[in-house]
Amino acid sequence: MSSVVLYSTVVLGAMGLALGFLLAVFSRIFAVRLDPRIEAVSDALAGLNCGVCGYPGCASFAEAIVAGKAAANGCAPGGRQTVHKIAAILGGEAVFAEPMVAAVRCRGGRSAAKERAVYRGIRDCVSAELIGAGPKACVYGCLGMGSCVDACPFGALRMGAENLPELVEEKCTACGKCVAACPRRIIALVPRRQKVYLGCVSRDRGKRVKEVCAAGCTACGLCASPKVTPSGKVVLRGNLPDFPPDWEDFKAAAEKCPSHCFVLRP
Amino acid sequence: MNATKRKQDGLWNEFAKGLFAQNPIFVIVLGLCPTLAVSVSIENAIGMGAAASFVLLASNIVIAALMALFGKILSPGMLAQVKKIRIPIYIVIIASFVTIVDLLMNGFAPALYAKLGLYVPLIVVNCIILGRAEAFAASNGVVASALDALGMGLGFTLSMLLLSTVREVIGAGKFYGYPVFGPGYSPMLILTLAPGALLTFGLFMGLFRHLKNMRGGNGSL
Amino acid sequence: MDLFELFSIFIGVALVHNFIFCQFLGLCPYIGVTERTSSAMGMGMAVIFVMVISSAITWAVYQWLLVPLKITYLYIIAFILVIAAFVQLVEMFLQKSVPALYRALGIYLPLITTNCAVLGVVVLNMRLFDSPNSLVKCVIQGFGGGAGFMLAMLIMAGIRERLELADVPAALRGMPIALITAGLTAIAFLGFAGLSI
Repeated sequence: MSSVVLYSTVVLGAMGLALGFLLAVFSRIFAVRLDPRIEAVSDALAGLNCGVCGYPGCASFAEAIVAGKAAANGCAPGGRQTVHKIAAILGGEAVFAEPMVAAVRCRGGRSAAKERAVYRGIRDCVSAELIGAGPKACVYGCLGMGSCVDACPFGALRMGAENLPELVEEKCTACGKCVAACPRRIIALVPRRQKVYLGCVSRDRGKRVKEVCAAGCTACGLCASPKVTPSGKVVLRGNLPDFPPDWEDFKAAAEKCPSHCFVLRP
Repeated sequence: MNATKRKQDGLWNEFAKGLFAQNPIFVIVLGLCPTLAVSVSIENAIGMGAAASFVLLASNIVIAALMALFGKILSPGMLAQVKKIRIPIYIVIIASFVTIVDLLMNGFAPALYAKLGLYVPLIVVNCIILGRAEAFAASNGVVASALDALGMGLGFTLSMLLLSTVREVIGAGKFYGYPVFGPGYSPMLILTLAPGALLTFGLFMGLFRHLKNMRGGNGSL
Repeated sequence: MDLFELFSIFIGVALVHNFIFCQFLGLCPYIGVTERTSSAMGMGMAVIFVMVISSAITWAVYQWLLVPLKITYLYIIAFILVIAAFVQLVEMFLQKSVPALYRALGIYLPLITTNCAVLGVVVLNMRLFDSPNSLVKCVIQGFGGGAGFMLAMLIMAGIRERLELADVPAALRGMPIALITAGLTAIAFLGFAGLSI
C-alpha cells in the first residue's frame, strides 16, 4: 500500500517537473521576439480583420505599420482615434486619410422598378444574381434581398420600405464590406465631403431605362448642359453623369433631373 | 442589517443563478458532451449529475482557497507568473478529484460505473468545471465559489433530468426503470439513440429561447 | 500485422462509432467552429494531428510507466497532463517555425486541450492495450477518430453555411437549429450501425 503512495507521488511529481521543465525550455528555444509596439499598435486598430487596409488581418497590418511599410490611416473602421493612438505609440505625426462613406446608388425600389419574374429561391442577392441575372427587369438595379445589410458589421445598413437599403451615416466606417457584398457593385465609397451622388448605375439609356424603372437615369444629358451646370464639371460617360467630389452647383441639376436621380446627402 | 440582508441576497443569488438565469447547459451552453450521452435514462443522469457536482464543488473550493492563498503570500510578479500557468493547475486539481470519483464509483457503484463508462474520466474536461474555475472560483471567495458550484451542479443535474425524463419516458416507456405505459406502448426508439439526444436537446433549447423571447428577453427565465 | 483488422478499427471509430454522432465527444468545438468550412477544416486537421501523437505518447506513458509501477489508477491525471503539455509544445513550435500555419490553426490549438474528443480517444485506446501490436492499433484509432471528427465537422459546416440564408424561426436560429441538423445527420450515420469488416 505504501509503495502505491510512494510511486504515485514520485511518478506524478516527476512527470509534472519533467513536463514543466520541457515547456520552459521550449518557451526559451521557440521564443518569438516580437516588437512590443506591434502589440500596442494592434490593440489601437479596430480589430475587425475586415481587410480594408489591404492586409490579411489586423496583426499583419500592425506589423506593416511598425515596419514602416504601411500608413496608419489605412484602418477605415478605426477612424481618427486610431490614427491618433498609433501616432502616439510610434511617435510620429497623425496623417489623416480622406474620410469616406458608403453610397447606395440605386433608387429603383418597389414602386419605381418593375419585376420580370417571380423569384422563389434563396433570399440572397448573390444567389439571385446567379439565376438568370435576377428577377428584376433592370439588370443593373438593386435586388433588395439584403446581402449588403447582412455584410455590414456595424449595423449601418437596413432594408427600407421601398425594398432598398438605407444607410445610417453615423454608423458607417467605410470598411467596404457592403461594396464587396453587392453582386452588382451598386454600393460605392464616396468622400464624406461630397454632397450629392447619383442614385443609378444603369448603363442603358432612353426608352430602355424607362421601360424597366421610373427612377433610372436615361442619359438625357440635362445635368451636363452648361445652362443647368455652369461650372461644366459634369460629363456624360457610359450613359451616366460623371462629376468630381467638389461639384458645387449641383442643386439646379438635382431639381431639373426628370427622373430625380440625384441623391442629396444630409 | 441592510448589509447583512444584501449579503444574504448576494449569496442566494450565487446559488440560484446556476438553476435558471445562468443554467450551464441551456444558457451558457457548456458541458454538452456528457449531457447528451448520459441522458438516456434518469438513473444515469442522477449518477452523472452527482459525480460532476461533487467534482465541481470540491475543485471550486480548492481553487478558490488556493488562489486566495497565492494572492496573499506571493509577490505581484510571482503571482503574474503563476497566473500564466493557471489552466494546467486547475486541470491537475480537477483531474485528482475525478480520479477519486472514478475509484469510488468503481468500488461502490459498479453497475452505474459500467453504464457511464467513458464519461466518468471525461468529467475532467467537462467545460462546466474548468469554466467555473476560470470564470468564478479564481477570483471569488471560498463560500461564494462553493455556492456557485452547488447551484451550477444542481442546474446541470436538473437539465439532464429534464432531457432524460423525455428520452426515457417517450423513448423507452419507462420512468427510472419502471414501465409507465401499458404493454401496448411501442416506444419511440429513436429518442434513446444518439440522434434522439441531439434532436431533443435542440428542440428544448428552441423552446427555452422562445419562452425567453416571449418574456421580453432580458436574460432571466 | 493484420491490415484488415487495422482497417476495421479505423472504420469502426470513424463511421460506426463516430465521435460526434454516436459518442458525443467534442461537441463544444463542433458547434462553435463549424460556421465556416475553412475553420472546420483547420480545426479538423489540428485535431487529427493531436489525436495521433497523443495516442502514441499516452500509450508509452501507460505501458512503460504506470503498468510496471502498478499505479494505473492515475491514468486520468497522467493522460491529461500529457495532452495539455503536448498541445502547448506544438503551439510554441508552430508559432516560431511555421507562423503561417500557426495563424491558421492558432486559436483552435488551445481549444483542443479541453476537447473531450482527445481525452476520449486516449481513454478508448485503453481497451486495445491488451492486444498484440497495441501501439499501432492505438495510433490508427486516434487517426480514425480524428478523421471521423473532421468529416462530421465538414458536413456540418457545409450545411450551416446554407442555413444562414434560410428562413429559420427566431427561437431556433443559431444553436438549436444546428443541433437539430446534427441530430438529422446522426440519423443518417445510424446506417453504419452494425457495420463490421
